[in-house]
Amino acid sequence: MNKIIVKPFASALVKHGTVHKNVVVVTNDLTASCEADEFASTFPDRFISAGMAEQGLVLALSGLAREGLIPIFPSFAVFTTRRPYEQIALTIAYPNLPVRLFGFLPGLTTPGGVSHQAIDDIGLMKQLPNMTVIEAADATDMETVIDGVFDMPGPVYMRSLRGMVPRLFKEPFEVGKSREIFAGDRVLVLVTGALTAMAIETVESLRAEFNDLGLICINTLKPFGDQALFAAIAKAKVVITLENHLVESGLASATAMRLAKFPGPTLVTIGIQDTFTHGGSYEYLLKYYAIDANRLKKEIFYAYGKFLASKDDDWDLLAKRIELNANVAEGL
Amino acid sequence: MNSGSVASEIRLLAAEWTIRANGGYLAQACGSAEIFATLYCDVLDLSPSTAPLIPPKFESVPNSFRNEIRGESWLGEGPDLFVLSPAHYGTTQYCALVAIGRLDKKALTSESGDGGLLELIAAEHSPGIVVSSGSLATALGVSVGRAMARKIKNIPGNIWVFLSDGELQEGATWESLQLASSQRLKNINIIVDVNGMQVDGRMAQLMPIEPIVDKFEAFGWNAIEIDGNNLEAIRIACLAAKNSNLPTAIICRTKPWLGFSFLKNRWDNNKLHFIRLTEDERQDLISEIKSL
Repeated sequence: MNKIIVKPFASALVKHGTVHKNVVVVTNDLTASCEADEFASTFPDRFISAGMAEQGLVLALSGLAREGLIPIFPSFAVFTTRRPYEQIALTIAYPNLPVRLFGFLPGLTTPGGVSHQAIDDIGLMKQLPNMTVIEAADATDMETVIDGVFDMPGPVYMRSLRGMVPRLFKEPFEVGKSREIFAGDRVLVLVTGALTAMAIETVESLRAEFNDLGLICINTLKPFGDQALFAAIAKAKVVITLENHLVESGLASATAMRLAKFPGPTLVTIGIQDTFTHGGSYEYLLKYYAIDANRLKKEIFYAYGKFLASKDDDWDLLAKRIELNANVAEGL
Repeated sequence: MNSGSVASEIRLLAAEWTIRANGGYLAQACGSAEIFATLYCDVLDLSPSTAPLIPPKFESVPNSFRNEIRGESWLGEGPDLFVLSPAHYGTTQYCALVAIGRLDKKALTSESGDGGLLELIAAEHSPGIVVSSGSLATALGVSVGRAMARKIKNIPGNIWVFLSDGELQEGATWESLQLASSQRLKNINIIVDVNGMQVDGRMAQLMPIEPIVDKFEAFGWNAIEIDGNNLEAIRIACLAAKNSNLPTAIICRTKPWLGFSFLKNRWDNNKLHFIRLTEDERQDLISEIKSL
């Protein structure tokens, strides 16, 4: 069982602000929701509440950065990326400014439905020139990513986890570095973000049967891949990507671009398949959109030329759930 | 520098540009010539330009090497900052920089074609341009951020933002205005060029934005309404803005046809955004320039 860390970003942000006096945090009415409340009370002079006005807020981030400050904007990923998209493109990405955008509530991790589920944030940010795109997979990532990108001269988007976050890694986050969890060169699973804990558990359970089944966690979606990752992809017969995002513009698309240039393994993409999504519990949604452990197992078996009989007997259990996301105050 | 002669020079240079390029944003220059002239001659506290009189050729958009040319360097290093928001007023800014001696007149010809920095829709590598704000309602918000940063860092100087009235139709403008007043910024002021005309025609008929003064006041700004083609009125309003404890918007009622008679005909016909000269207009404009 993984150790659970409570609010890993909150304390990391305060530590970061203590060391770096040019860091300012700007929020859009989601201060505690995005774990910036401790920073706000520790450094009131470097905290700005800009209200629910993301276009004006992002423009202000550009201005703050142009004056030599490092602005951090933690919000829900839909509000970080979708609503002020043009302002990010023209006034942050284009002038290549050191702004740090944090997007919480990635993909299906929220019961908030289409308005709150960021299923396209990685894609929106990934296609912007100058933008570095990162997805956190565990508490260590959330504790170390802000320090890890401090020296980057341009903008960074970080898809983030909050609340009760499992610790999976000991090594701090490093930009561009993939995390090999299980070495294996026949079937290779690539995973990003919140699904990583499930992927570790699933792959681990199948390693006795398939000892050349590999698993790599990818934190940096753009620029995509380091030499270790490319070498592992080149050796594999089947690559399975697993993501909590639209496959058209997320991990699967980045992997497909790599394979288009350097063909080799067959690509299997698990993720959200060209559809908007609706509200419900995380477990229900993963199952409904076929991004769950059962689906991963099936695809691994199939990659090894075997068939895993379906067992869908937990739908009844899910239907009895009433409380959504008990871990955070507003239930989102 | 005399603001009256600078205003006349801006009109003349913009007209010559329009003839040469067979098109341009001439009405914007004619409506705002007195605003630019007064700002540069009587209001802005700017150190000398750190950029050459003839700009270098385009090198790159901003990149990780940060070796791109910065349009801001033609405005020196403060303490004040002048931010042009509607980037289609780029021609006006270039002509103003020539009129006040920060840009060589030859650049208006040699650097306004392909590979030159004097782009039609100005970008932040264009002389005198601080933000690439061709998408309207962009530069005000960036300037509010800069004003907030200068307040945090205790840096002196005022930020003056030139806004066009069309930008008041954009929601981002009002988001930025509420942010500035909520932060109680004293180091930012706005000059709005209210010429009443947008691409499709008269704003009053398409999407009315009045009462502008009341709206600014409701958003926590001090608002002063003046005749935007009156040099002395602009100068006095800017002085009042500097001494105000609130961020101040100077609402300038301007006449975008001022200076050339064919522009008034266009105003009457509701077509005054981008000027593509007819042959008759071209001949009229050339003869009017000669008689100046």
